[in-house]
Amino acid sequence: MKLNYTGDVVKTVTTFTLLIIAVSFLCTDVAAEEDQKPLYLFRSTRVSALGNAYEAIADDIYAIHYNPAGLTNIGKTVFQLMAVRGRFTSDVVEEASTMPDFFNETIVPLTDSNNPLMDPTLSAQREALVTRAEEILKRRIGLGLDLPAFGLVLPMANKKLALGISFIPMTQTNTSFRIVERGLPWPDPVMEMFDNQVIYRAAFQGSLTTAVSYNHDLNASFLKSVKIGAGLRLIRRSIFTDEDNPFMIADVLNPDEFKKNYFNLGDEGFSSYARDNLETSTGYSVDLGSLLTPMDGLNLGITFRNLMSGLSDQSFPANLTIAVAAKPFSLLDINNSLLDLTLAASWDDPNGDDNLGDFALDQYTDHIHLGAEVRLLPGQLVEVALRAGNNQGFPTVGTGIRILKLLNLDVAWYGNLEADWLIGSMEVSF
Amino acid sequence: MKNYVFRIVVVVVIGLTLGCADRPDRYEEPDPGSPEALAAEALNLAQEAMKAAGIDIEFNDLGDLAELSSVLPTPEKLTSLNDQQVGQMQTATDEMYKILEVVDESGSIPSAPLNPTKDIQPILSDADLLLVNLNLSYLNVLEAVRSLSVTGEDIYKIEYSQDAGYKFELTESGKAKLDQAKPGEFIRDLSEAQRQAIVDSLFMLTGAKVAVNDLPGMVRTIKRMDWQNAIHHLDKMLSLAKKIAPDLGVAMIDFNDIIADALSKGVIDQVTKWGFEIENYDEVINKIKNLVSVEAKKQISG
Repeated sequence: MKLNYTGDVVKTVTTFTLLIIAVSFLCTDVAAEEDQKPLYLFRSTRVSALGNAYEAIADDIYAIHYNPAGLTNIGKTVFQLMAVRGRFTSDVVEEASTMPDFFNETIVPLTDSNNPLMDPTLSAQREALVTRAEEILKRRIGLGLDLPAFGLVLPMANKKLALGISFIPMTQTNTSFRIVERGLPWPDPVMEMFDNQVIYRAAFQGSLTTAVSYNHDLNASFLKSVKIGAGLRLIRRSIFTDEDNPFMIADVLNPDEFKKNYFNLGDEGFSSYARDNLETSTGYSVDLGSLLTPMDGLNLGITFRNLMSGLSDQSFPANLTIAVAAKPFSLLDINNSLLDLTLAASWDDPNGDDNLGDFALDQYTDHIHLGAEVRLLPGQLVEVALRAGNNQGFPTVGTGIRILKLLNLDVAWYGNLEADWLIGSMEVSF
Repeated sequence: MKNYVFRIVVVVVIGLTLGCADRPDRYEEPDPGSPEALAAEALNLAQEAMKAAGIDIEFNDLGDLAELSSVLPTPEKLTSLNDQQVGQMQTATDEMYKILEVVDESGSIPSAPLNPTKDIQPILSDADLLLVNLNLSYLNVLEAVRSLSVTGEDIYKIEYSQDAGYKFELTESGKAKLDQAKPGEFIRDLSEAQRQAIVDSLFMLTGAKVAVNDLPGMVRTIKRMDWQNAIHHLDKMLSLAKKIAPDLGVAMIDFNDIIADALSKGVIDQVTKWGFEIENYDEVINKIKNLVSVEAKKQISG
């Protein structure tokens, strides 16, 4: 008896140890090159909280963007209005909370002075300015706002076929601001900051996505069903950025030249200036996806995103994803109306981050997405979801509530290679 | 089976919450061996050497740029440097010049003789060049002041005040000797080390070339390029400051006054009275004139 007990403990400890070692392999430190050219794949709040491990789940309208084959999973007509979705980096929260004081106590006295550089009474303000610039060097400031987006899924041909349409008007935005170290590495912070570059980017994007999915039930012992889908996305994007000609902090010391060289608004004001400096491009991308169901509660997904694509003279990097999702209760044939659990994992190449491909890292963590979702009271009038995940080595977590089978409120903490983001969204679907 | 699956679930859920990847650093290290990397390496060595010598510059406030004279060490501090620290000071100067060897004075990679038409992009910003020139003028001044202070004995000395900066003058006994000396006698009475220090300091401060062949003893001219002197670097610094922001140029004029007018011209005025002959006297005096307040202010405001 004692031996058996010991054997069970050893087995359990060994199992856990192996699993923990396996998980810890996913947490290896990585280094990366950064070249930011955003694709702006649509990221739903739910999927973000799941670490983007969604291709084999694909059970809501956002399958249009992740794996079009999943549209036939929905099985009913769904209309969805995403009222608003906002996201901002965690550094924005810290910056925003101290910005009013910083502006009043530091910027205003400096800008009001005739001699901001030399006035001895403004020494504290200048020091605060240098300290702030140093802090911003380490920060990742970005925010995005997506205003009404519409989606529609129509089952056809006895639910064997589904057609999905998603339309996002010209309101998907992404803005970022950063200071980048340039030039010689002076040890003194005052000397070091002069040639650091200030880079901003504001992007506006609209897209129209259509997808079609076909389900074929096989009911074979090894394969219950096969779904295939295809999606076409039309994109129009405008970007306002100084990435090609960023200004340096030293440039700000000469306000007249600075204005002339970098923000010469002319007589027609900022809106005309912004219009003239918007780089607008139009493009498309084609996705293919498949979803295999070997048994109830287990899905395998394979998607090819951007199989064909173009955006002006560039193209989006093609992306292959292999994914698996499991519902343990279904797998174990357990009926539980209070709780539903989904586990998912996906591997993609090149890394499927929000800037798709251009955040290329050198380690396999780049390619891995893990997610888990617990839904409490699934299908009831009030349904609550708890989610956790790991997106390319960065933790994600979130929660959502669905009220009266109509209103979805979701929040997520989402880590990607760029930053940690706070995301919130409100949707109506029926 | 069920327990096994649930154990997996628990571990996976815990595992999902772990995230240990590091985000990439935004600072892009230049390629090893590239001009940028060589310049950065030289700067690091120069800064380390300045720190080891106890003469590193630190600005706590942007406004310190308007009070550059406050970074100048006293002659007493410079004479108290030990041999190792003096060596570090020279290393700092050499390494700082290496930056300009790599990128030349415009901040660009020196153009290839076989391809002179190639478009050359500067790899150092105006701000970097300004700071390199500031450091070089500072290091040249310090070496000149140290050299004169160490060798002065009872003949000449350098005094320092926060407002006026360095002042080179004869001691009381030096004045008495000069008053009593016949033409050429005062120079002859100086030690060889004193004559060498004066020749070297004049060059380091202004690029002045003393006619050493007429001097007694084994006095040699310093082995440097003509432009490797404090006045030249001050001139560059002022041009760059003006280019970056006129206010910055105005702020630096006081420093120029202290180095160019008070110290450099002061040394020239004194030693020419003693009988030292400067071969490029007019050229040097014109450079100094261009740097002192009235001329420089006209240039900046104009």
